[in-house]
Amino acid sequence: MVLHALSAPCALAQSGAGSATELVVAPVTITPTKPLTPTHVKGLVWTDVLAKATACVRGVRLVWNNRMATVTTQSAAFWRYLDLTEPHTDWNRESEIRIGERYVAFHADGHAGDRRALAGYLARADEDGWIHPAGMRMLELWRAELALLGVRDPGLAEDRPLAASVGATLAALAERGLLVDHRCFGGPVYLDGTRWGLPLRLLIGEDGLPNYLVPILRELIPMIRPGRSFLLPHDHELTADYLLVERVLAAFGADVARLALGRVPVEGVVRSSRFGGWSGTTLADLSAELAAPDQHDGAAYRLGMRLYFTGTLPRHSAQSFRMPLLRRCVERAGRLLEQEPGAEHRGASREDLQTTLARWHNRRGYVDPYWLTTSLLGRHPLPFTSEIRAIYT
Amino acid sequence: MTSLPHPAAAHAAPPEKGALGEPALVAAARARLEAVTAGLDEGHPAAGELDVAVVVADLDVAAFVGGVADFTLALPRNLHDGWYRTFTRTLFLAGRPANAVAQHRYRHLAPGGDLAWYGPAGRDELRPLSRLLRAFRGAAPVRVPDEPLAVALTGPATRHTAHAVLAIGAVSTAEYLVHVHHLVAEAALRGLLRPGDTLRVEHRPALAAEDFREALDPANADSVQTRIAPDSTESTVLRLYGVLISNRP
Repeated sequence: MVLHALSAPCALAQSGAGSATELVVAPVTITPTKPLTPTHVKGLVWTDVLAKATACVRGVRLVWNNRMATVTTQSAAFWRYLDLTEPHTDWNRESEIRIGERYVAFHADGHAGDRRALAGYLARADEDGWIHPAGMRMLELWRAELALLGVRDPGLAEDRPLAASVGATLAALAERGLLVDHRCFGGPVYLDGTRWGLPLRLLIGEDGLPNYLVPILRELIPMIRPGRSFLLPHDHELTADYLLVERVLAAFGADVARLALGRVPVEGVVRSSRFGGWSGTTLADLSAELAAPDQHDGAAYRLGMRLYFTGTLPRHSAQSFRMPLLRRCVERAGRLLEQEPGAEHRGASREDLQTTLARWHNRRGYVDPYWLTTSLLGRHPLPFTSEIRAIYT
Repeated sequence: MTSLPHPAAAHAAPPEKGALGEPALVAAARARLEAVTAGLDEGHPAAGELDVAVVVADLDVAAFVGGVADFTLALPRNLHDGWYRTFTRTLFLAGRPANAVAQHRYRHLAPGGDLAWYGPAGRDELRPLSRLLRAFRGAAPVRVPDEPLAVALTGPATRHTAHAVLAIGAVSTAEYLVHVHHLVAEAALRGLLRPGDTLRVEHRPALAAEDFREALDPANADSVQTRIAPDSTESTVLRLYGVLISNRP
């Protein structure tokens, strides 16, 4: 299995290199069907800072498999819609906004579509790693934006099969009494967490099509082994599903924690990107406005984005996206970067940083990005050391 | 004495629209309606409407038929009328009784543990269970054993055998559960089935009303339970889904 083992970005890593345990960070994947909105950016930046900072004190692996997003009816239904409505479009020339507009139009049309026709799309995505050219284009655009943002590519350009087949995964769940399988009656398949008071959750519909939880389970269950613990960052709206995933992985022997992140409203409204409303706030919009004029080769943009998304937006924050505040964060980042080299050891010492990271890690098993970032901004800030620079820029 | 027609006499296909048997079905359905409206004369009039929920993990037909009867026959009398007057209204839920039991204690569990009965209870009382689980969905044609079944009901053997014949042609699994549950539960509430009886169950593609003229005659209702409902493929036509005859001496 190909995983992304994070090399620690800082010298502190030596202290964690001998750690017997490894943290597997498995964020919910994003279907490459729409532009990255502030909610997505918050998730990506939180995960990036968390993984890099935690890698200073223990081993970290980031799990991202495109097929967790592409072997879903959400992606398949959209791509079938594109094939039906625009079979001749050259997607390599389209912008993410234009592709995203098609995504909004697709949902506005109320396209439940012919779900039976989706089976072929899912099979191609599952068996061959097929991604619609519009999805490939979106991934290419995302990669460029993530490179600009300094977020380590979690594997957007890679393709690998999900770790286990549907059949093997369902068999493993059934063996542990975690499945209600009514396919033989022409019915659905449910994940059964009722022993924990969690409602029965659909996995495979009567039409035989799996939902987005199936590839997640197919990828994560085979990764469980002694010495590994799991962290699942996810949208707050998916908490009910992720509570169940957490319990199920634990039933297979995994040590699991969740990190629910509140969505970032735009102009006071939290809405799914399928309804649009992202104009002026996509990651590409933000970088166009803030990265281009950056006098620090993009470092002020990278640091400022992290100060904003991990330092002013706590995990459950319901605060609307604020461009003026983000701009001030980038300006402040510029000033931090301009500090003379000797300034980094003012205030707290380097040992304090190591102690702090280790203490946070011990409390939750990972370094909380909000704690770390706010520690850089307070009255007695942690030193802006080269290690911190490596994590934040 | 009411008797079942020989299988060879039964039609191999569902009755056609407007078939001769329709008036007989209407008369039998009306007789059932009147009986339910009158309620059970057991000295425990219904305090309110009661429902039952059945949790289904898997379906073994014999365990299901026996489970309906055993569950019903073990109910306290004060719960009979409230459920009978709702036409033995029953909610089928997908779930595993072994898992759901941590939250909700069942009243009856079928051998094998794949079917569990809850209630009879007010709808509000069953709501937490139905929220935890999902409505049973089974659109595929029901699959039943080829040979007739002899289901021994729990209790000291009575040496009495009741006979049931059930339609399965164009009947989905979900529909089968509904039809059989009503048929057997009402028969048990009305005393046609008793603990220790044997229930012989036979499945046929279709039950033609003219083949069950005697059983459908309201004059024989005391020893007969029928299941008549709109045809699932043609809702304006009544169809005979089940007949249960119990000629107790």
